Amino acid sequence: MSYRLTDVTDLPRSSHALLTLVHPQSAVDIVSRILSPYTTASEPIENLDPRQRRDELLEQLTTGERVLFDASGASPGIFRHRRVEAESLVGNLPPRLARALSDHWDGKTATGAASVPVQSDSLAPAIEPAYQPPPATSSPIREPGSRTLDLVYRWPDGTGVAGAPYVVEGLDSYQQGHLDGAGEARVTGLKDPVVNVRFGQPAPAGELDILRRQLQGQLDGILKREREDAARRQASTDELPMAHNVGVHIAHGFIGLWDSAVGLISNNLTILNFTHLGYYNRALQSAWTATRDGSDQAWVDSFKQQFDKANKRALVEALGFDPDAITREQLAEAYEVASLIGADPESRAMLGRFAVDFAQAQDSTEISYFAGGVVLEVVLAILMGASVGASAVSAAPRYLRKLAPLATALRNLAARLKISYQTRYHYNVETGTVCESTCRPRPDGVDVETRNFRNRRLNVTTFEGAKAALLAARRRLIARGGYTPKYSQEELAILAREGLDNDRFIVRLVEEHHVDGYQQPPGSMNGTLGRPDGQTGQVRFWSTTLDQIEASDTCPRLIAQQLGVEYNPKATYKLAIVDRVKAAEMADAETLIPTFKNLTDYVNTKLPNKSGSPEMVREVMTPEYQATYEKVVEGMGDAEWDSIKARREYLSEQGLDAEQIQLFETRLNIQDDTGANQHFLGNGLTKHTTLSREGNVIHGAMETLTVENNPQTFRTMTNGGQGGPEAYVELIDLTPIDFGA
Amino acid sequence: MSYPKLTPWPFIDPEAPPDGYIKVGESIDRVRSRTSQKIWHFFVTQGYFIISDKEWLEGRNGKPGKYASSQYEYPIAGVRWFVDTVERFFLPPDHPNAVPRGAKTIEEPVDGETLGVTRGAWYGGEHIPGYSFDNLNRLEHCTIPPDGPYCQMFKMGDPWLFEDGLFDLFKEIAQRHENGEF
Repeated sequence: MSYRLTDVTDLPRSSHALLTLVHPQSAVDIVSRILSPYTTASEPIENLDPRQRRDELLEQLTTGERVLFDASGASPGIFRHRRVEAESLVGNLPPRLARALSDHWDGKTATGAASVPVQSDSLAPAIEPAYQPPPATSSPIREPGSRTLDLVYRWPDGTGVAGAPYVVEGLDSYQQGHLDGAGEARVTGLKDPVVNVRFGQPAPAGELDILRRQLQGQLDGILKREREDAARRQASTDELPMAHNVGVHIAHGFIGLWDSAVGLISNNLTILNFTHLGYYNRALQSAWTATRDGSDQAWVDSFKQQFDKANKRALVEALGFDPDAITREQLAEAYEVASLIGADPESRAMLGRFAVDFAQAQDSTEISYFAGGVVLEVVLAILMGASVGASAVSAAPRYLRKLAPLATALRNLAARLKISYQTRYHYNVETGTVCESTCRPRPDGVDVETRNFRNRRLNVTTFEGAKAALLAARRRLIARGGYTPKYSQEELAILAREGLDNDRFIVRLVEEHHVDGYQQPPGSMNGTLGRPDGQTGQVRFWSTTLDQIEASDTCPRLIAQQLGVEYNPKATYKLAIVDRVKAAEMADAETLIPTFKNLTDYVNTKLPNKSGSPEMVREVMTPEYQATYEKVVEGMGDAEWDSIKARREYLSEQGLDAEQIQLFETRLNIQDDTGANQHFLGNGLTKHTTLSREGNVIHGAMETLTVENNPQTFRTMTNGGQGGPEAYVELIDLTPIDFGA
Repeated sequence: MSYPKLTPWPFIDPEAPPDGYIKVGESIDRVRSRTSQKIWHFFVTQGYFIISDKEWLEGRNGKPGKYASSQYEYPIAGVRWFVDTVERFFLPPDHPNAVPRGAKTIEEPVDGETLGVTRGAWYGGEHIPGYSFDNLNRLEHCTIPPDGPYCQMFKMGDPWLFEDGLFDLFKEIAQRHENGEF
């Protein structure tokens, strides 16, 4: 067996030679195998140029620019019936080769030059035109043969692949059809003693590459448009005070996830109920694995069994999409597509790169994350984009519609990937026997991963880095057209439990006149970070970390909403960024996240036996008791607040016994000690003022409580506004962003 | 650390104190006088400093109204100690007599009882910080049961203490005691 390469412009003139032209997709396989450094090729390519690059040659074969001939005729060719005629050509040839063949039969050369008589491949000079067969006027009458072949095609679990297409092909036989419901068929009328059999859809070798390239082309097109849009947006925001344009995020390990950069969590629905993805991941994996060896229908049935409408809704919400915009069938399809893509390294890498590039195109922030773990989200976004585009839902996230054009290419690629699992070829099968085959199991189910939110944490150690991060956030905010929460509700709760060890900076929203202080002349900077307590000058303020506020960038309205504080549109605000480490030294400051546990520790350590016994403090500083406390407090009027005696009368009327009254008073003492009132959530989180609804609290940010025993004025804290190593506070001017209604 | 609790001091009527109770002053907690004026009376007797109030509680749910009292008791020497200790909170952190960094309360024995001064975020009412004068050997009590499971803490907001003259009254009482008036 030997192979020979030829340019498509040099097709041989003889029909017999064309019969040895290897189908381009098989040619890609053959050449790949021969040129693989990991195999020892036994079949040489006679005229292979050793200087030619492997990928270049494969590309040429894929596109039909070059063709491979197998002199033995054993390789799959381009004709169905071993007859060199246009009607016998297989249908999936590269356009370039198909055109060349067409030109060939039209009597032209492949290059379109003047037509020449068809000649034989003989090296002897032709004295007269070579023999040409008469044009076929009708299909020849072919006598059927007497040989049979039984076909059996099964899923890995042993059940038949019902209705699968098949092809049986020999030198003089060609039969195609579909298997019956049991995955079986008896093929009769065969002439050949030996045939080739294909179960399933044709799986041309080079087709995958072509489909990947088609998808890549579309991805590139979308990216190009996004980058152009971003450039326009950038031009419109250049007047913003961009003092820094550094890759602060990449420099400090920030990972701009698909979701954080693009904004999968871009509508309110998605943050209402961020559920436990781990549970749904296990359920999905379970449904997928249970049917991995079975039919496609088994997967859909299993999925529907595992995911009733409520579960589907929760999962889609957890992924950050509107559950009303996607059906269970669509979700099952998305998971299947994602799993097929996820199992194909090239396709997975392609989508991962796209996710990052698409995110990067939104602003100039550099992102280094490889989004391998978010395949399902990307696939779902693309498929939903198509669905949303069709129904023109105006409330759909902006980016979804941009992704809609990708759906067809993505589905085609997934379908072809699926074929590679479900198509089997058998060569040189003897007729008169049973050809049994089993298709491959489906790939592993893709993981629905929780986003690695810790990598989204802003980790800056200098004021310069902090300012740069805020400026980058503003660009991102403008590019997205609105606020996108940086963390989900669940992630916020985890961060609050983890503490402040990773947060160097805390921030405080201050009205400009507070910088100067009460009744102080403008520019005096005699104010403090909070209202001084009486005569001691001790300052206590509730705030949050720079990392938490980053998503709201430098818009005071967004920051106020996130922190759950009133926003005064007439006021001018500044953001005080406080270096927590230096503040501890200079202002004797202590910052903690006011969770139940932290406040319990605080009270029992700093004020032992003052509010109540340690056991009682622990008992009342719980979510359960907080609910009781809030309810009892609701009925208290001024008299009850002002007098312990009036309060005890009231508590008795509420049916509280002596022990319950003591517990209540213990909790009230803690409120007096720390300010943790009946609205205290105990999870270290603020209540978002805009997104929260009655009975449904949406958290805005992780909260901090700072007590400064030796507070300094802004003049001292900022080194007279000059900054430098003496300063431990940086004041940032805040400018509201108006996104319209 | 827990402290042994002394037998509760009997309640007195601050408007008609028993014999031997010398009234040394009174002060109004204006912040907490939203529904009725909260007048606190200060007495000295038998070497003790007594803080007491009397309040009319309106009847509820058809029940008749009644008077009720709260009361706090300290060794008389505690008044000077309270004044001095509050002033320690005002010293710069590096002063040798300043309240230690991070401390929110100071507790020391005075004439056999452990007294304390504590800084609290809302000791003067909602969002009003203040100080409390504590006796860790005595349970919080008023004429409406139950007694508190915690120690006596007479809580005063900064405005009351420093703007309405209460702190000056404490100073005056301490001075009068040192002058031998009682």
